[in-house]
Amino acid sequence: MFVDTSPSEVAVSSDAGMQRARGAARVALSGARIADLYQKSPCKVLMPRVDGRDRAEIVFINSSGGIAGGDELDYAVRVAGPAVTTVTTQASEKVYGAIDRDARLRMSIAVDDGATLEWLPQQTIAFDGARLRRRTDIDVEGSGRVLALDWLVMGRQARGETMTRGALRDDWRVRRDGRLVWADALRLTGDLGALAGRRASLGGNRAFATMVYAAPDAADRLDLARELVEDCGEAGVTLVNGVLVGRFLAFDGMALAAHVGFFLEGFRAGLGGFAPWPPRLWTC
Amino acid sequence: MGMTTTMITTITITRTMTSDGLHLLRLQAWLSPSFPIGGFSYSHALEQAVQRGWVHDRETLVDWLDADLRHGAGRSDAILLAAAYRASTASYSAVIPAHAGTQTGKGLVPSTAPLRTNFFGEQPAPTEPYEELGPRVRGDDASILEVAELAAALRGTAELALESTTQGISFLTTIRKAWPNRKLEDLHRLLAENHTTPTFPVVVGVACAAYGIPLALALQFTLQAVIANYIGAALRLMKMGQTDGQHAIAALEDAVMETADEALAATLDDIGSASLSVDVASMRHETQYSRIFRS
Repeated sequence: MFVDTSPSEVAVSSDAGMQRARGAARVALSGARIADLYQKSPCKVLMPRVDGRDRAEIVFINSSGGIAGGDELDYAVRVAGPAVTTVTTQASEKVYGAIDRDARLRMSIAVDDGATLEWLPQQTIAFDGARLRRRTDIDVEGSGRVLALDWLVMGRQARGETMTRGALRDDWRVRRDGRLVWADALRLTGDLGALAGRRASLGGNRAFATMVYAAPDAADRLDLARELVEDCGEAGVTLVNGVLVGRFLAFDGMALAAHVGFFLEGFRAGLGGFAPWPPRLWTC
Repeated sequence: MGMTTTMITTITITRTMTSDGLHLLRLQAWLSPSFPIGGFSYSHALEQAVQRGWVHDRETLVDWLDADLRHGAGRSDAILLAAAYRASTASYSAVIPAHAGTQTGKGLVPSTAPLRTNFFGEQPAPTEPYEELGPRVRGDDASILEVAELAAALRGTAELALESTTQGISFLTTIRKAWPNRKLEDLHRLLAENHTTPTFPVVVGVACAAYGIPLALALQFTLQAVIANYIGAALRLMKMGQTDGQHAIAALEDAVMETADEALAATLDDIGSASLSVDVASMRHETQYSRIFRS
């Protein structure tokens, strides 16, 4: 006897048996020169030509076109020397609904004494049912400076998409001279529609960002950051253990982009030494 | 014959209850508003939430606190407390002071021995419980330190960090004096040597482990005390009566019990918060024009 079932109707009960990505990309720079490079598909690295000998731009690419449950992508960048390095992503990373497994994204940033790095990825967009476990490790030595951003949008509101379930976990660990100075763990799980609606959580917002500035002059920049954040809606800045931290909540990805863009433009100009705003790929 | 049996039974029950009662008695003392850690001066961003209109009555207050308990700082701090308790328990071969009870596979069996007192009927002398604890396993300092460092760094804002560390420091200072115990001395030394700031959940966790207080009770009492403190702050911030405050405490019982249960089953890897608005409110509180609370 034959069972009349087309392949698309076969219930898939786990991400485990599916074809999933195991990618990695690592770059080490000495000044603006490549000291080490490793790429494992679907992760790739591009280094667009930029003006000036003391600047570098790194673009991380996930060529698989999106992230599914069970994917593991591992990015790392290390910079040494006096150059200013901007690291970004080629496109908004899209995290699709998972069956049962977390997608794991890891970003490791190491900034040696005297170096400057900014990690300004494009927005991550999570679709309904997405399970994302992201971890960002930042290690700064001596007079090294790092400005890092992570932002996440729960569905594209303009297309009528909402995220009602899934698991979004975002961990940060910031170490200065080997010492843990700031840790953060965001965890939105279960009935995300209800949770996002609660005032203590997202208060109905569907997009949020975390910004970190770890540098010897972080405390001196708090006043500037406070002034800028006044015009950024539901957002705030603070200084914890010498690390400047910002949080932004917004109704959707566009509102978030407007607020974060405004803040970063003023903040980076105030810091001095950073590359002209914005990373070119943000506007492509 | 029958009379003797009754007598023995009565005595056993009385002593068991005394020992259980002792755990509750200590928790009540350590977590009461009169324990000198200055809890009354922290609102955990409620002052700014009220200013913004995010919290304006009993219903919105309960929702705010319920969410932060189940999905925010309450849950994360409960997991840290449990991790500190377990790490502290693991660092001794003989875990529980003899007068508190015996740790078995089924949890703590309360001691039937009378509480030891000195000649004047006072608390045990500082050296006494140290000897009851048995040899130390140095290796587990690492796991206590791991929890303590994470707890100190896992603070979303300057004022939430201040709230946790000032209360942690005061709690440790007070309890070392009034309830001296080798575990607390070891914690103090370990944190000082490694320049790690004490935080409230870690110190409470180690203190409860030091005196053999069951972890579930420790979690429930601590969460309840923290919530009651915030509700006390809310009463000073908005038009809400004392009875409404008690209504709120009653309404949060399930959240307290369920969060404690969740923390019992969790590991450090499960830590995480969804309370982003609490962070934003706390950040904005730093520059709030008129304020009465330190957080």
